[in-house]
Amino acid sequence: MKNIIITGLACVAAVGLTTAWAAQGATGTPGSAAPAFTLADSNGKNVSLADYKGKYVVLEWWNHECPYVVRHYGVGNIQGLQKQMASEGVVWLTICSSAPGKQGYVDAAQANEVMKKNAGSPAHVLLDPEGKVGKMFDAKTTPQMVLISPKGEVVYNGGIDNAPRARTKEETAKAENWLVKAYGQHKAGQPITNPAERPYGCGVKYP
Amino acid sequence: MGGIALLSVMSSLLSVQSQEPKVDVSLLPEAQALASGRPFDVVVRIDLERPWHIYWKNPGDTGIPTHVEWHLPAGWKAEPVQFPAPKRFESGGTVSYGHEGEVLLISRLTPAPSAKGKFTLKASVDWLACIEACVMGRAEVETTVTIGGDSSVAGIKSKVLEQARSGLPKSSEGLQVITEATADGFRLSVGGLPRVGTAYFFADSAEAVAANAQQPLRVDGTSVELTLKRSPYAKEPLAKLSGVLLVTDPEGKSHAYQIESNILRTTNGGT
Repeated sequence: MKNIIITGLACVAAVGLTTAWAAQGATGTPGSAAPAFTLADSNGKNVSLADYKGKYVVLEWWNHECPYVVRHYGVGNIQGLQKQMASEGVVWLTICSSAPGKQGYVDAAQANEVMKKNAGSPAHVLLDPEGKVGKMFDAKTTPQMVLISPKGEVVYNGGIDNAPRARTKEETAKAENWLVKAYGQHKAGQPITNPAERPYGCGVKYP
Repeated sequence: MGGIALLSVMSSLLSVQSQEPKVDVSLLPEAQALASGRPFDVVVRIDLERPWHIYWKNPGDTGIPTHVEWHLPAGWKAEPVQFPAPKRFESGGTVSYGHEGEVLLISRLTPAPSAKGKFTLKASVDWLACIEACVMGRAEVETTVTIGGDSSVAGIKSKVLEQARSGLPKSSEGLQVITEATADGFRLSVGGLPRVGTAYFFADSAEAVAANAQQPLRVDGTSVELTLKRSPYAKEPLAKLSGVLLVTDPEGKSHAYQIESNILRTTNGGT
């Protein structure tokens, strides 16, 4: 835990971490500058958002035991998005904000093991066991997706798609994917029609 | 049954602590014998092991709504499910709306005009149950009713329906409800209540009010004014605000009201 360095705006956000942190001006809202953060990844390396200035960055909130995450990985949906985004030069950061002892918590070795088993290919799995970065971005559920522009602005923050009840691969494939939509619109210089859709799934298992 | 098979696959993919709640789901029509051509109520009873909870029609910050899908004979219709007044569940800064223990939903069905005789009514019920961990659940349930049967027993309402109705929010008749837009949300004023100790507003939609925002309130005898923050998932300006106002009187007794009002916009109300 000592290797988690929270910088800059994080301290401002942390002041509001009472029961109603989102109510008190949580950062991470679409149209605002993404708060800076640094977290250790599953290989013990510190990763900062600032490292990727000039690139699109996706943040994926992850609890590998949450049934919705199980479903999206189970049908290959998130792995497909990771590959698609990587091929476009987008940096994909998977973040685990489950507290130790709670659903989905992984240590570094477990994070690598589970991600390998799921054939996931994020650029990094970041460990956020104190939930600080989760709260900075108002992450409420797993899955939840954030898209950050090359200039460091939050483009999208919310649910992965419009199909919370989907169960099969076909149903998931038919869904409108909000992350993909926002990315396409932003890249084309169009207005973002759905910058914040309600995320669905398990509550992030904060301490 | 495909759903059940899928559920067991999903369960097996779950964690080592594959702890799951015991859930018993049943359909309880208001009577076994019903008059022809008239709508009738069916209670969808979900008996959920404590301390797990499932979610209201607006699940709040997390979860998904508990869902009932009817598979009815041709020509039959189902109205949207009525949920009992919800409870708040708070965890790590997120606030969710749901139910625990014995949960009684009400679904109103209308038989086809020509329906006569015995019918099997089937439904798929699915939910997300959480304590710390969350588990999806699904049940395929059915019941049998006779339409146009013995008219002497038709129309006798079941006890469980009475019980389910007593759990629904009451009508707002007699209350004075005003909703005004503010810069970052709404101000909801309700008068004509029982004496107010404390109050909380559950918006019907997650796209109206931020569930995890505090709701500062001002109480004046039998009136209350709540300050509500707009949901980060709100779309274009809302025309109406609707939801359940839960009032606890000074003796600790709860009263839930279904309220709805147009949103007034003043020059400095930016919503």
